[in-house]
Amino acid sequence: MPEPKVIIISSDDEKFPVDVKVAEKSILMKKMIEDLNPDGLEEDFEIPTPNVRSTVLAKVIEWCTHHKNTVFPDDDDEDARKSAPVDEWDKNFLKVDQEMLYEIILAANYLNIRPLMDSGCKIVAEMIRGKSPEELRRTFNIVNDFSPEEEAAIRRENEWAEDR
Amino acid sequence: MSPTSRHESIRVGNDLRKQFNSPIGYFKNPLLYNSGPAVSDFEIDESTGDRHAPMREVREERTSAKTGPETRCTGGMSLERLPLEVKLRIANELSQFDCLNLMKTSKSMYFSTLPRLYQHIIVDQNYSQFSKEYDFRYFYKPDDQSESEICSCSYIKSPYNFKRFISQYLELHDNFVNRVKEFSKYNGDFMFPSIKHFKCIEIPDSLNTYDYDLSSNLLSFFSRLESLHELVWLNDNFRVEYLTILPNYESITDLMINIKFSNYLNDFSWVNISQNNDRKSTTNTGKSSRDKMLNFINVTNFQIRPFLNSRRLSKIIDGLLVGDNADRISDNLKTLRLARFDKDTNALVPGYKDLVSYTEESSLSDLDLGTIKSIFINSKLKRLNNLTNLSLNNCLLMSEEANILIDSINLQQLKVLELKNISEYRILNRVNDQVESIRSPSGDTHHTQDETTMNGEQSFIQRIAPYLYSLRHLRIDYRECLTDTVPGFLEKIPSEQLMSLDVTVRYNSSKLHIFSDSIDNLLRAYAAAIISGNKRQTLRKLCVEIKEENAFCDINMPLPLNLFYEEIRQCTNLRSLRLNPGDAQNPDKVVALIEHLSHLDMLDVFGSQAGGAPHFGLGMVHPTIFDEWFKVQHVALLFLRHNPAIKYIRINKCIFECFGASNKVNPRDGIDRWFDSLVRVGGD
Repeated sequence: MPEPKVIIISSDDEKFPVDVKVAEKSILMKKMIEDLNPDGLEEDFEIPTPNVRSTVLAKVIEWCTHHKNTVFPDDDDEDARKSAPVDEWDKNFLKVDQEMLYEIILAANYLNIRPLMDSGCKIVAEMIRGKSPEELRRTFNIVNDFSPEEEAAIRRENEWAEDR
Repeated sequence: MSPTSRHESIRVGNDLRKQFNSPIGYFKNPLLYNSGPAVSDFEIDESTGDRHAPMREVREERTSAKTGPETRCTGGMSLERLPLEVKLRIANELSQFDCLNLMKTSKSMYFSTLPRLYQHIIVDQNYSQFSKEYDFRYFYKPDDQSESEICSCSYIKSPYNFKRFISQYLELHDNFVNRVKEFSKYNGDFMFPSIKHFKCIEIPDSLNTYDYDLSSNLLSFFSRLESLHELVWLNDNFRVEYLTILPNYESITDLMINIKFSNYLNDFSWVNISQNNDRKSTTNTGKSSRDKMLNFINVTNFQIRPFLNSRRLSKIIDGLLVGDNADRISDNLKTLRLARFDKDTNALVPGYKDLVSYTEESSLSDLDLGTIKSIFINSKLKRLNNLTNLSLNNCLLMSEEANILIDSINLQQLKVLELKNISEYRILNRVNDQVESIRSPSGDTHHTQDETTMNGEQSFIQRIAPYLYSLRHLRIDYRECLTDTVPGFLEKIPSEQLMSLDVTVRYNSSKLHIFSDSIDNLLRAYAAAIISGNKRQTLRKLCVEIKEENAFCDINMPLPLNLFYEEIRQCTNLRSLRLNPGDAQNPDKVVALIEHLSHLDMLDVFGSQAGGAPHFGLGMVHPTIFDEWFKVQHVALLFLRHNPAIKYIRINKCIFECFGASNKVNPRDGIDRWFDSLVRVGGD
């Protein structure tokens, strides 16, 4: 008998059967599997993810599959987590349009996949780094909703942090 | 340099000596302008030169930003629409400067980056944004959670901005709700920008905290830190009022303060303090007994200096730490670091000859002997079952006190132990001592001598050694007279995971008789102890210092050429190494050692001849130029040529960042604190 699978169901009802090992990259799913199957998985197990679209879920599962054997730096090992640059594979994997990137981050946040969340946030941070407010508005399609007075107030208020 | 020529250069010791002692700019090693792979390019080379490094950094960032997805957002999900927690998570990956830019884009971005900017403040006048070693990212693990959370910091370096920050925070704190309302049409999420970590590492010199305005602002500031977890104040102008005025004692988990000028602590009457402080009595309604104490019931990390004497130490522990929650505090405490003096000195008080006494009633009252007793017996502290990190700096101990320590701490749990400038005091029985001195010269080996010391009694460290099952990091600088039990102590530690060892070998003439009148025997015992057990495999970090004790102070000595090198060679997993290579005429040993240690990242060499024979640097050619880095650069390059994997080399005070692939070294300034934290065990 083949190993029982975890079937992840996206918001638009698409089913993704994956190995337990892959699903367990998500702490949420891991806890779910453990809590509802205390004696280990005996048959296929369905997990609905009502706020993740199928295209996004496919990407997330692709990530989990690729990293199913990766050992991520231990949470206690702060130095390793701190200095770890974004994995080359992750970098290429996350070369998607902004909308997709945010949805992947949201899914990783919801499913509690910390390393994917880390990578995603680092990629966004890299896009932000070194840009002026005007450039940022252009890149991220942000509409300036400050009045000139408010803008000046904010500048003044946080001047202390400009300490270069 | 090709592998063959590399081997040749090692074989020819003469060659090596020449390189070691021929600084750049001299005729043997001329300074070549415009040369390609020349070794002397740190002043000229545009792409790697230190002065140009900032430019390069910016350029790199710009280009790397372009590799990311650049497509414009078209409806649907956007950065602004991400939930606040995710935006905060992203803001935590940004430096304070990028945060500021992001903050200025729109209201929703303002509210989602403001907490990041305020959550973790570090005041350090030496900070430079170009010292990339000081990462702004910081992971904090709350006690009740399994995962550590990211809590990136903002630096403040100038006095002006420190004052501004204090007054801005007061304004923001008192008017935050109005601010949210003020921003018309904003209805998104927001979070109060609370300060969770406040660290004064190095307050700007010109900042006078006693200045009237600042002083009252600081008091108001501290009274508004509702969610402060960590308070660090390493300068000596800390005032105990700051602590008493904190609004929420329960939130504090880490307390690391310098109380040098909090002298009134000596006769500190807690009742007086809380009566003057009416703010507090309103928050702790009805429980007048609690008002009298500083109840930091959740403190896990307590670090105080200077405690000056044991009488005061008991008061500090009772007054600042324990309060009336002895059980809870003792259970929570994970880190305890205590130092007698404000700064570390190399003065030896008392001198080694005064460390033994032949009569019970000798000058005991002059010496402050009861440090351990005052921590654990005279204070209200109970048994510390969960302590993992213990540091004592500058104490006089007696071997019996080991029993107090064994009873008061669950030593099996201890992961970090620092014993810095600790001296052991002994009262000797005349008859036994004579027996000892008759026995010694008869050619006993030092090993048997280590096992049983004076009077057949074990020393303090020998008594605690058998309990140290989980020890990972050890710093030991232990002074003794007539005996030396440190090698025996190192051999006795049962821990199988000792990763860092920072050991100071001290010799004085009184020790010689037990080592058959030879310093070499003493050093040999140390060298053997360093690699005893499985330390060969487990050690990642090693520092060896040899100090000769004179009447009042100690002198650094180089490692002898025939000892230690062979032993250190066997520690193949070393990532960082600190030693005094000594003789500039014989660099072969140290160079061969460095070449052999293939995992080495950090190298710290010190001593008068660590940078080759002393010379004038460029002063010979260009008078008045005495660039310290320039004088020793050739030695850093020599080491790097023999081990291109090294990332940083420090030669005395000069740190070089190394690029093995291109055989280049960049002089670096202002990263000493970072370097020390990686190379040594425990901070200063």
